[in-house]
Amino acid sequence: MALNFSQRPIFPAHTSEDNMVSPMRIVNGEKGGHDELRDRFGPRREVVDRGGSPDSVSKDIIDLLPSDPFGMDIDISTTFTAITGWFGDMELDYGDYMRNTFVNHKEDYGLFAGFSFFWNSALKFQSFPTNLMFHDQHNMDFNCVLVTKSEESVNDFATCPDVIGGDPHEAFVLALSYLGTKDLLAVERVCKSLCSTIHNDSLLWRNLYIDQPLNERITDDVLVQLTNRAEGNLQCLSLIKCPKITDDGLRRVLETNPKLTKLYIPGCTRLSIEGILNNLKAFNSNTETAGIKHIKTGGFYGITLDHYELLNNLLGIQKNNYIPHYYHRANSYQPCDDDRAIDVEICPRCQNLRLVYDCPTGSCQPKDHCRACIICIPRCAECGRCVHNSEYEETFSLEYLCSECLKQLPRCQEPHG
Amino acid sequence: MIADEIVLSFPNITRVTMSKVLEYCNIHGAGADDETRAFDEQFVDVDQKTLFDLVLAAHDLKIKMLYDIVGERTGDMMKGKTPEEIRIIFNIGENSCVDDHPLQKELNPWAFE
Repeated sequence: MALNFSQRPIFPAHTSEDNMVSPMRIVNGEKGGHDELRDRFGPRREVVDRGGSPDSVSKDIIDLLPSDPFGMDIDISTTFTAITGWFGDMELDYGDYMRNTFVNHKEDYGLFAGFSFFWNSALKFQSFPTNLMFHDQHNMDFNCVLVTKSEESVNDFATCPDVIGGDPHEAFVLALSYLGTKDLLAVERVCKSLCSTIHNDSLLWRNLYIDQPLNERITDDVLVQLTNRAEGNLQCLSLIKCPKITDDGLRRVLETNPKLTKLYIPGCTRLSIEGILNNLKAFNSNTETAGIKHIKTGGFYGITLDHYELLNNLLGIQKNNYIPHYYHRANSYQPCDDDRAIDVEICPRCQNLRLVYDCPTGSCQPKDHCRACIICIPRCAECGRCVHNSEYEETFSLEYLCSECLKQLPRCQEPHG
Repeated sequence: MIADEIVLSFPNITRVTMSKVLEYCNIHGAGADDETRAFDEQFVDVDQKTLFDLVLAAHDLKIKMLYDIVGERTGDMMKGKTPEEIRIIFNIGENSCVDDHPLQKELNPWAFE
């Protein structure tokens, strides 16, 4: 088999700034290669030498191999890479480039040579004043050197792992806090270490949010099991349309989670207003607990004024700060960000305790008169505007859409011919 | 006047990752607006390895904004997937790390009916 020798010299006499590839391929890319270099050229001597040093040419087989047989423009680096200055804010003057000085630069230049520097070496880096960019826009002039971890070899010789599946990456575990309950339970099944992590990390279970599709399946026992994972640190419990949860199940959760402050239970049809009130009375009167401060019921069936006043007392509400609340099909069961203590209020029109909505700014005059529950004033499911004063259409899903939102709906194409 | 030299050593962060982190910090230095949102979308559209490096770097450097967007992006890659799919995407072995937990397949059966 004939070797296809590269036409490039081993030490190119004129290496352009854009092409600092060392033909001394370090195939395994790591420290082994580095040691090899040190042996050849003595300690702390730069490999890529702009002036060229033909007397260092070795007859080793590695030198005879073509440097880039497949034209892949592979990056090479070993051990430590020292960086002078900050990226993105430097213009390097290559006219002043000196021998035995390595100046690293932005990735835009592509390939870079593989060699190592030690920070405490005798070599003097070319240093120059630079501006630092911080979040607070504080500019200083000083010399700064960033020493970072070596790049891993990007070439294909080393990337394919022989092992089919290993441990989950550390970053994977850090990202678990961005997952919902269903996804956490799925990830728990991936491998044993993740199972252990998810099971034992109480921080992941501090805010429990149960929605589709788990809401229909979750029972009292499972709920207690999940809330126990927080090890008493459960702060917010959201059960959206969970028909199997009973007053007794809620009581068990409250008994073991003294730090609970937010309780969202819209659409949980087996929870009664009396049961809620009894549970809250027991929980909030317990001196060990701070007590529930926020409750969202989604408009409880059968709630009376007495219940409402009792709720107000239990939650310790002095006076509700008025914050406008707008209707949208998606937010009727979502925990709102408005931080209100109770979501229901007395409808100004029918005097029942329901969810009350305002008209979005600028669409209704006078604004204060357009404040009522959805039964008294139907609203557009998209923008929340009242529909009785303007053109609207009732859709197949039995919701109202005003003329503006109707126009923005995607339409089917008219059949031709 | 030039102050003394400062050496900042980050043995766990590669040069490539650090340059991306600095790029992010520079863009977000002035506060959030539409441009930064557009930048963020393009910023997190990277391969898995780079994304993981960014998560670790943001965690080590305690840059919350960056940590949030890359963490959320990593989470998005797992959302809605079955355990088998997650194993394939992230190259995780089923039996990594010996532990005395029950069989993974039988965990929380109620959630997977």
